[in-house]
Amino acid sequence: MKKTLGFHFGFSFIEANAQWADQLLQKRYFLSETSEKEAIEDFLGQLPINEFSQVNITTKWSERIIKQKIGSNIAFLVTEGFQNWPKIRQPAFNKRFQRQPRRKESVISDDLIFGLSERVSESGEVLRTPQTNEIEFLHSKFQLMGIKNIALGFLHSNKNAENELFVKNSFEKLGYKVLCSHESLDEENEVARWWRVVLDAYVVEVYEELRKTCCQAFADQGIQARFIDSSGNVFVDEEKHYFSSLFGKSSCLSRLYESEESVLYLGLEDFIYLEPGKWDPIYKSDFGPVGIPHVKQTRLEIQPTAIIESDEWKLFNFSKQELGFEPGPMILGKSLTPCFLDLLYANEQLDSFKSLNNMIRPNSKSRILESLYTFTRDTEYENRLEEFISLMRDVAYKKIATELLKQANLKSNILLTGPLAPVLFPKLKQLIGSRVKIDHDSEYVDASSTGVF
Amino acid sequence: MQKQYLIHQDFFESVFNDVAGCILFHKSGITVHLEQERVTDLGTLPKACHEVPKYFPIEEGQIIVLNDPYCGGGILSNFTLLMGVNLNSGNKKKDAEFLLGKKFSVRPFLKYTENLEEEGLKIPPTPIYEKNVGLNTAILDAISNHPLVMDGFRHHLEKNITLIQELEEHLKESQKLWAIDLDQKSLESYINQSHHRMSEFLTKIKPEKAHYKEQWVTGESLKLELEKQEHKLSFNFTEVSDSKIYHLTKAASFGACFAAVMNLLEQKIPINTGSLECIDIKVPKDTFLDCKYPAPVFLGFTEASGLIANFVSKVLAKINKEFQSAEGNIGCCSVDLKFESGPHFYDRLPSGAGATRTVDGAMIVDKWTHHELQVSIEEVEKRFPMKIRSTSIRPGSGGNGAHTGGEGMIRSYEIKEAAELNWFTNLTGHSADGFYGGNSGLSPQFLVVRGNKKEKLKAYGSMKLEAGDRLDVLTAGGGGFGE
Repeated sequence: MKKTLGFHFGFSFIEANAQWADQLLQKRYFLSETSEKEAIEDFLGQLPINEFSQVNITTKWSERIIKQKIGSNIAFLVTEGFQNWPKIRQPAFNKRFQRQPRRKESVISDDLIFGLSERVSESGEVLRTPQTNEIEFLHSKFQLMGIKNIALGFLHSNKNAENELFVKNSFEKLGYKVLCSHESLDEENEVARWWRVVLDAYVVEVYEELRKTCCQAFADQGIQARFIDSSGNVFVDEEKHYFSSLFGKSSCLSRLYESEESVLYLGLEDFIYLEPGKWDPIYKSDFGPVGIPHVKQTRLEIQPTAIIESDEWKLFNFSKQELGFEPGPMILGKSLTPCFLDLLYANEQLDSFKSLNNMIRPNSKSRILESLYTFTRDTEYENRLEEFISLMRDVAYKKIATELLKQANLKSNILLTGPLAPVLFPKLKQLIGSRVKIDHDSEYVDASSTGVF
Repeated sequence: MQKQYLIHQDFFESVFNDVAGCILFHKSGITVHLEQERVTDLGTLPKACHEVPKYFPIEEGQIIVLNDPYCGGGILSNFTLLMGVNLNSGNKKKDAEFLLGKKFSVRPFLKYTENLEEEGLKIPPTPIYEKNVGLNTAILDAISNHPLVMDGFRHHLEKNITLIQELEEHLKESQKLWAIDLDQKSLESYINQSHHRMSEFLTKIKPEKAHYKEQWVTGESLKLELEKQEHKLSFNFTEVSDSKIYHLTKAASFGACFAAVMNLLEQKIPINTGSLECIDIKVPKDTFLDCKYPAPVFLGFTEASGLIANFVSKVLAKINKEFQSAEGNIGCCSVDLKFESGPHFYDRLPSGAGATRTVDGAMIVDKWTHHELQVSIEEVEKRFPMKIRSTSIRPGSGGNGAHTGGEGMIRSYEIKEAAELNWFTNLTGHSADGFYGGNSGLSPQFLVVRGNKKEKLKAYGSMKLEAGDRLDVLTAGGGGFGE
């Protein structure tokens, strides 16, 4: 039998999977209790280590670096006159004519975007060549600002990269690490190309630190670590793949379920609808379009740690805001805010879910019930808590099912996979019908799916 | 009661969540659910659903297309599709029990005309798709071959017919899944609850009367008397002038008033007859807020609707301090270039939002329209004979104050081939007012640079551009709040 060793480093969990001879070992580690290094050592310590020579890994490191804004201090050089363009193109949130529409804060401050006098036409003709004195001036500025990484995004660089290459070489000679937008991908939309190179440059250093620590822990046991990116490429230490590992897990799931049209991944950290084999060149991020080819997918409106809130009319709602796992759902004992997972627990649907059982704190059920009870005060559900919980659960399932029906082809099967698939499967099947299938062996699919590469 | 209300609300929200510019309407006259894209949709979509059945009964599966602003359409480049839908098995009548509506847009032409017929092709309610026959190709061909038809009409129409059919299927499938009653009685109960919620929100508005007056340099003037009644806000526009440049239909004026109220809501309230009926507007006939055919509507619907929403917001802020904010989103700039070799370019650049008591105004955002800027510099340069020299924030354009108004933007175009330029911006002659001691935002500007000569253009107009000319467009900033 094939020997596979796979790891998935999520936001809050690490999943590990090893298969050899007729043996299977699968484990989940909670990152606030066990470090990445400890988890690797613990897991490898339980294996006949000589049987394995390499491990396939997917990570959420890029997502973590961007969300927590812990990336590098970078400068972004664009064609002069377009320094504000990435910010102007950021989507503003204004669904219901809000009094004050807002844009999300970007990963790069406006003060770190600089214009350089250069221009290439739409046909690829160089209209203006960058000047060395301008590069020298910027160099002195960057020295004062302590900048070591530069991203370049010039207009029409996908038609003619001459100017980008000239500036890259000039700055590299001065000791900078420089990434060019034309190198990342041949995307037609400049904003998508620009955000891509910015994010490539932004994550590269922190990713490298995480990668090195992780690789060392494996190397200590004689195992080579290989990572998987959004396009399904396997890489070891090529920096250009670091940010593009953002959708590495999806590319594994897509390959694993390549014969399926619709897959609903129900993980502990996210619920994602995937269409294996279909590709999307652009990721619609909070900053605007980012060019990163990945498997077509939609993050569901309801997520595992979506906060349950109540409005001033005492109507509950599943918020777009997520708790994550730090402090996490109430079942873990720290948070005071109920979320979707707490609702499943209150409804006794998580009772058979082994992976979480050792994490669930005693008395959490009574705390959740107390908290949900406040939602019923002064409503028709006062003193009918059980009925209320059942209503909340039904609404949540119907919302998930409605979203699924909107995404999936009318006649295609929908395969449920992931650790929470067995929990949600019965009700979704009841609502949608026999089209809904389940992969019963998918509790550790994050890690086990890496074996497809 | 609460349970049924919640389920209906969540059902409609789940089904129509990401569809901007759509309506579900019951033949009894109930707007069951509405998702707007522009402020005017709040009035025009229900109006279309009321008007069309007066022309002919709509059967299940039949699709009607229209863009006539006097029948519930918007500007002539915005089209509304209405589809007959049956959602209750008990309905045995030929005409459908519900209308499902969806809007779509094609690139507009900016033209200054005296007459709607010259603005473009006006399509009255027209059956374009029959359930058992399919697309009415004879009519579609006739429309597509009309000299005034907008670019890309046929392609967009066919695409949107598929989309509305998919939406109908999704609606039906979801209805089964939610096991939800959509009979008239259940809908009325849901509508009553929505009405109750909206009325409850309106109790936050002090039960006072207020009035406010504005005079614009375009010649239009208006006076609003706002009165809070028991379950309603009554907007009584008195002393409204005739149309000079701007023309709005009453439905569009209603949309602007409702949007201004919606803008104050912190909690979501579904948009349906229940909430819509909480706003009542009175407008004198044949004025610029209730113009009649054949008045052209482009400037009114695109520019004046936002101005009316701003105007109403100011009146509401007079009553309630918590609603106070500086003015913003006036002075968006529209540019229309028709190049000699054929290509037609249209761009609408947003301005800055006004600051509020607690935050600075957002920069470069169209508060009264939902759309993401999709345009790409490279794409524009590839498709049109021009170069975009720069696109930037207009520094210092937001009014100063304790909180600064949102900044506008500057875009500079270099024209490579002779073209006819049409342009317009806020014509009212005032910039976005500051509030509570805050300064006003800068006004919009259009500049043409030909050789060494720089010409400042008026707020709207039409002129010929030559190859090598430069056009600089500066959109307005929002007002600042507080000293």
